[in-house]
Amino acid sequence: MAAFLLKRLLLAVPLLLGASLLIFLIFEASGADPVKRLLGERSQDAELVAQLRAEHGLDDPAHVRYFRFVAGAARGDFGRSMRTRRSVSEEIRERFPATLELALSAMMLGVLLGMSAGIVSGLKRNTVWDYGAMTGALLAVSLPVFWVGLLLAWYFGERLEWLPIDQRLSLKFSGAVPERTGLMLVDTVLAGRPDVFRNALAHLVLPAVTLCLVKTALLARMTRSSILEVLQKDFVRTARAKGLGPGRWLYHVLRNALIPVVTIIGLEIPALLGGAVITETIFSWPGIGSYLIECILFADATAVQGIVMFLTMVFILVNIGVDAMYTVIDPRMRSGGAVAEA
Amino acid sequence: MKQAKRTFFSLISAVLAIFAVVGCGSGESQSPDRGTAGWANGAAGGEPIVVSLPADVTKLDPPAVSNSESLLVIRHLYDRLTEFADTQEVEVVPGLAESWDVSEDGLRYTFHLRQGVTFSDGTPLTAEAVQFSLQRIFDEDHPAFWNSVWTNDVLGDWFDRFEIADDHTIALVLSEPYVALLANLAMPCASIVNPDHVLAVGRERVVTEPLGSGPYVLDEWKTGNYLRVKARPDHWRGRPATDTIIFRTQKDMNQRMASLRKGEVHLVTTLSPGVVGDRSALENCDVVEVPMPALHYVIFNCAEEKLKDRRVRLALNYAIDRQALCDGILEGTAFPASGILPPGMLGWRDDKPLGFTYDPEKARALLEEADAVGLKLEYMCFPEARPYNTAGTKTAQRIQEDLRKVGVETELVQRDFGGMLEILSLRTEHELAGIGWMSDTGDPDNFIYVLFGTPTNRSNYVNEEANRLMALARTELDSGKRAELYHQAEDAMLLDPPCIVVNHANRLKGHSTRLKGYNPYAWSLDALWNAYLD
Repeated sequence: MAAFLLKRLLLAVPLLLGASLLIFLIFEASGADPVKRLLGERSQDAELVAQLRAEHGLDDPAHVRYFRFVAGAARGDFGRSMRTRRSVSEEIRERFPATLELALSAMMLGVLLGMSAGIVSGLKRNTVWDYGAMTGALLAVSLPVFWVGLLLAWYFGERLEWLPIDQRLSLKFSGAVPERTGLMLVDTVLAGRPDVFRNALAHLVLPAVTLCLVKTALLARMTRSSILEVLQKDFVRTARAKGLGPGRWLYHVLRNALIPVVTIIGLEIPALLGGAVITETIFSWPGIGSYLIECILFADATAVQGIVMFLTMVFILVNIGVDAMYTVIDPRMRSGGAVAEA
Repeated sequence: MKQAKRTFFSLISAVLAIFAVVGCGSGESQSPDRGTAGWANGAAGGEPIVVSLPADVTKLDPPAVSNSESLLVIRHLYDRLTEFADTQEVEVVPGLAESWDVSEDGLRYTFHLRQGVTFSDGTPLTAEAVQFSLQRIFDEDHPAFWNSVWTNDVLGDWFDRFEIADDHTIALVLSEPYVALLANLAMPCASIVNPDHVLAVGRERVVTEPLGSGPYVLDEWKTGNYLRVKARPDHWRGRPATDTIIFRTQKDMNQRMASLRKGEVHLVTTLSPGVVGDRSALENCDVVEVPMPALHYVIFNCAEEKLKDRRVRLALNYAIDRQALCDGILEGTAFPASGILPPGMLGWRDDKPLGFTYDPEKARALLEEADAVGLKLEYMCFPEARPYNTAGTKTAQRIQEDLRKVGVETELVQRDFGGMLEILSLRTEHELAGIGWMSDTGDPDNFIYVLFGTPTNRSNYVNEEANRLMALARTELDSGKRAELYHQAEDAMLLDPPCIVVNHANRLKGHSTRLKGYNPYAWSLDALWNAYLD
């Protein structure tokens, strides 16, 4: 296991370098001048533009700026945002827990609903349950997130006024619980404040539902097809022919059927972390996604590169974690080469 | 199979239970922030005022900031030598300086500071702090200097030296008279900082750890979420009327309006007519139109051969039906401009003799006279909403139609705002471009001169007569005579226009009817130290 992890971590280094180069080149190619965007109407002051460019090191050749970026990122220092003058690492530290909480909640909800629907569909193939679940899944995967998010916000937030639609907590609870983990639900439990917990949960519901819809649909379809495939296997047929009840063979079906599903879950977690951009923006969720959008709009090169680099690191690390999990779920994966096939 | 069914139903039940728990708490979430009870850090001195901001507060070190959300907070955390009065007309009143003398030649401004003013950490505010704070705006050798939009604007070009007579008397000596100085010193960027604090923590940390002498101190700041300030009972103006103000970021316009209707927020600094709807049907809140010192205009590249003839530029100005444009597209957020200076600003006139009206016949005649019928021009526009125009592209399309009616064809080229600015900064690649300006100081020098008087202006415009008059106006101490000079300078420009003037702008501002003690119509950033909830 240790050798496996070490190998994967070493492989991550060139991957990160490649990703960093790509991020840097994309921004270079965009041709956006952060200084002029920052100054807006006032950018007619050529002297000021020149001074600010010099101050932010934008006059240095591209390779110098790239190596500065990589050297900083290697130390966990993504530089200072040109717009806010704050350390990008600090901004990430402050906002990442919000994104993590949203992504984990969405994932949990997605796994819970998606796998349940998938299992029922798979086991009750061609019944009303199956058709109902799969139609729901098709709808969920087809509807654009921004539309669903806005619709939910409008209906449950503005029309029915059941649920709040912005931020993580009502203002009256601001500072009510000490920040220990940054995950609001956990912090409120640790502080023993059920009233604040309910408030935080209410704020989480709509963004989490919006974010999980596509994942739920994907997992439902994956689980269903995987279960149907395993149900055709000889060992299941034999077990059922021998008269074993579902309580006995179902465990083996699920264990075999869920391996590809776990792959999808593993791939989706980092995607959720980076892909909450739209949901976070709709619900003013103060996470990394909404921050990234803001930085892109202001062409805040340092911050955008820092955030994307950070998300890449998270993506790679979570993938390594998922690969490690396979070896626990499926003993066949413990031999080195098979991992690559996954 | 039964087990699977049971598992499935228990999962569904669990999800429903979560909704039920949340539903129980939704009584709070319907009106999450209403009332005083339950404020975790609630103040003893009244219910907190919640201000809804359309963007995040970014930095809290005065000279480093240019976004209006941060400047609004800075206005409450720091004091300045002079202040803008809470009025619709631009008026400069005493701040930290309780009075000032101006020498006859207009070169020396001597400020007399209030006695007994302290920063929030108890350090006395002295003339040294004033010198430290103002010098760092423009002096590159200052240990806490920031390159910023203010570097060359506030004092830079006219400054000679400071002279400190004692702890409470400081003179600013200029190299040439500059009347707009008093307005410049009232800008939030010219706030007075505590030198000991700035030097101790370094300028990068002042951005997040402000320490001023203002009526409020920073209490908590969750970036992207909210920023809370607490009143200083020992402020020289006296204890502020409300102990806590919360500045909450709400980027979505619908959310801002919904929160205002519900009473969760008490002041919304920016709204659009679309989300407000029928204003007469509003309950518990009000939405007002506040004129801004702003102008949306279409600049000419006056160096371009097709636009060198002033008759062509005049014709383009007479071709635009500004009233229809403002009524149809800009829905109450704008009103027609007939000249350059906006209402409320020194030098503005309602009845400009040379002001532009809609006169397509005159436009056609001028174009024929200049032999420019069938003129083809490229017209750059941007899709983003700006304070002076919320619908850049639609405005451009409307102007394009009006120009077509008088025989001028334009090709619209839409760029994102940043991209357009980059092209404009080259000063050679454009013919027409829609852009605008909002004054920081409310002084005409920060408007008409900055836009069309500087040698590097985007229109490549040179009007020697206007420049001569504007130079005189900068040194004229008598405001009546100064206004007259700006009238003449504006007239000189209207005879030889550097742009198509399009519209001035209103800001739609919403406030709770419970919010008292402040003037919603004030042109400058809101001052809330006398405001309270009834």
